[in-house]
Amino acid sequence: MSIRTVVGDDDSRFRAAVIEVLGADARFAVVGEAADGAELLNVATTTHPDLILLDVRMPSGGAVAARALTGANGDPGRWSTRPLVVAVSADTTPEVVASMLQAGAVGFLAKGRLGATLPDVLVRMVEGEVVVAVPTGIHALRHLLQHRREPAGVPDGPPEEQPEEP
Amino acid sequence: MTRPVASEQAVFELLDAAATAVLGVDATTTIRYANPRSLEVFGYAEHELVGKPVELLIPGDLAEKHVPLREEFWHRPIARSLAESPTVRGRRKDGSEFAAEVALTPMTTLDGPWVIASVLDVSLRREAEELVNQQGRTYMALARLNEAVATAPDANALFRRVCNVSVVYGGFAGAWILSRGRDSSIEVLANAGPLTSKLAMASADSPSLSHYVSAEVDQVVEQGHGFPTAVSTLMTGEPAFVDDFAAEDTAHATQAEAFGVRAAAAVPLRSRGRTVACLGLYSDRPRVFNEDLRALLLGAADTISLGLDRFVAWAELDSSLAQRNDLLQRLVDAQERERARIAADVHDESVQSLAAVDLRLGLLERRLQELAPSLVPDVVRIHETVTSVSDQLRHLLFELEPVGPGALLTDLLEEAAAHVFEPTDVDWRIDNEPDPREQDLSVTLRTQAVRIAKEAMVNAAKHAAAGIVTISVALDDEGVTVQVADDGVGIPPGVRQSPPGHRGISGMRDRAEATGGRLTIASTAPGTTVTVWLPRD
Repeated sequence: MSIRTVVGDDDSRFRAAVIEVLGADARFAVVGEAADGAELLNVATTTHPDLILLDVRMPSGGAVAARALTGANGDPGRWSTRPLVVAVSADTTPEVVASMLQAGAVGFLAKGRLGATLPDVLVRMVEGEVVVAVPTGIHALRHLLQHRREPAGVPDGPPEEQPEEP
Repeated sequence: MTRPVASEQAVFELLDAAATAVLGVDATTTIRYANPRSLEVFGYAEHELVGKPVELLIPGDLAEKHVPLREEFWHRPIARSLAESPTVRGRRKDGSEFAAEVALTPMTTLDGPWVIASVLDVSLRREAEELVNQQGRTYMALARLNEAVATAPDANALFRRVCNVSVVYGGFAGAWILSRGRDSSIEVLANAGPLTSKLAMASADSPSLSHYVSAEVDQVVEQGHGFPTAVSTLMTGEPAFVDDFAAEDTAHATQAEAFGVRAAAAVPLRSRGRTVACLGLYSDRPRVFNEDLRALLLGAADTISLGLDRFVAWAELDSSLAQRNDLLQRLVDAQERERARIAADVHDESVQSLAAVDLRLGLLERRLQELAPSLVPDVVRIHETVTSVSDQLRHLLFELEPVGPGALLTDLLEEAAAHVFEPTDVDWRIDNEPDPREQDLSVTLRTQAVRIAKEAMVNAAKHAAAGIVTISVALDDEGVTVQVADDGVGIPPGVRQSPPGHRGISGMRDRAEATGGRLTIASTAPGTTVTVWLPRD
């Protein structure tokens, strides 16, 4: 049984590359794609994916979208099973990484450093591993441990772009 | 011991020889005796005085007051020495008066009770005393003036104090600071003295007099309104004096006299060599502006002018500083905007494209593993290059990123340190927990603090060969202090002034100063500590 995957990224070139890579791997079935957080939430609730690749910087993406997808925002939503959320971004500052982990992401991948390993890394996450594959991972974890508080000013995106519940 | 009793004749012989004017007056106030010196002093012949009432020698206005005093004396005749004498006035035959002190000695003669009056002409002494007093006042006035010039915070305050000093210490009836307003009107910048209120009252019911201080220049000159000295000085830039209005037959003079003004002076006040105002002084005494006083006034005007120059210099300095800071601020803002634009471009174009290339190369690698394994190393090399470029771009992105709204300064510095020191062996730490008050710091302040600290970190990483870098944030009531301290080799002498092509240190300094802060760099061996303090808005 293949891993049902949805790809959320506002850059069509990157999205297409991911879909091609995962499409070439029998372990994955890409069941949907989205260019912003609201669309992603829509696609996710209709396609019931196992795994979502979430771009941190796309419109209404990031931590807000992650919390809605993982239920970390306290909204039960209409999910039979919650998908795993993997954050993907070129922005790997400790605070951004920490905020995504806090929002319930099980992994953080740095754009430009995925290479040939993407499918294997994703499989490991599906199997239960947490993979923070960024050079600043240690600082992100330290950040999480030191600041056990609601993160101030994590890049939530503009409030008017809050994802709507379907 | 008792004194020998002299005969009356002997006493008068003695008085005849006295160097003091002595008069003998009987109970009917008739002069019965006048010694030769008294005839000299009062200018009378003996027969003109003896037998005449003593009031002959007292000025008319005082003669009346003299009567009750005289009667009181006869009621209780007690000797009065010169030291006890008030200063009175005596009248000479020619009508002129002089200041005098009078000692009184009661004496019983065969002819009944007399009083012997010794009259001392003290007018010379009085004049000398008056001169000393006046000089004392003049020096006091000059001292106060210097003090005003030295301490006044601005030109208006200086003008007010100059007027007050002139009236209080200079004894003038009125002091004005006047300047030419727009449309050739005359503007009062400051004034003081009793003449001010007199004129204010007069101008209410006499419209022409209001022109004294607020006239059009032409009106003052052509129609004779007001006192002309100040206007003349304002127009020519030269000092002007009137010795005695009573000696002039002009409309100006008539008006001046109506207000008890006898003499006037006006001296120019200059700023940058240009006459910007004048100090007008008015006295109720004629001929007070003698050579000495004129010289003093011109000196005082120069002193005030120096003060004015200083205010102008201050203002210029302030405005050029403000301009510089404004320029720096705008430069910094523009730089931030440009950075943000480049960051967005780099992210949206280069980084995304390279990320896609990275994925496709990965895919290619996996396919070649099966189809043509010999080609894999070539693709891996290409992939490594792409990954390295991609990493550099991510770093660039972080360098360029605008500081996010709401993030705490300490967290921002932690991120910055993580990025800067990521490819190095430097062990770094943040020395403080984030302060909740950091939330209130403006984006501009946080941006500048982060950019400055990052520059300091880059220097520590690149040049200092540092082992440990410690970063700290401390808030106080007025601002925030960020410190970056390393244990490296320190800064070689001279580098602090930024060699050509090195903007690092002066760039940090410019950023600090643009936000009104300051930067200090302490370089000790070992180690360098960069401390920046930025004010809260």
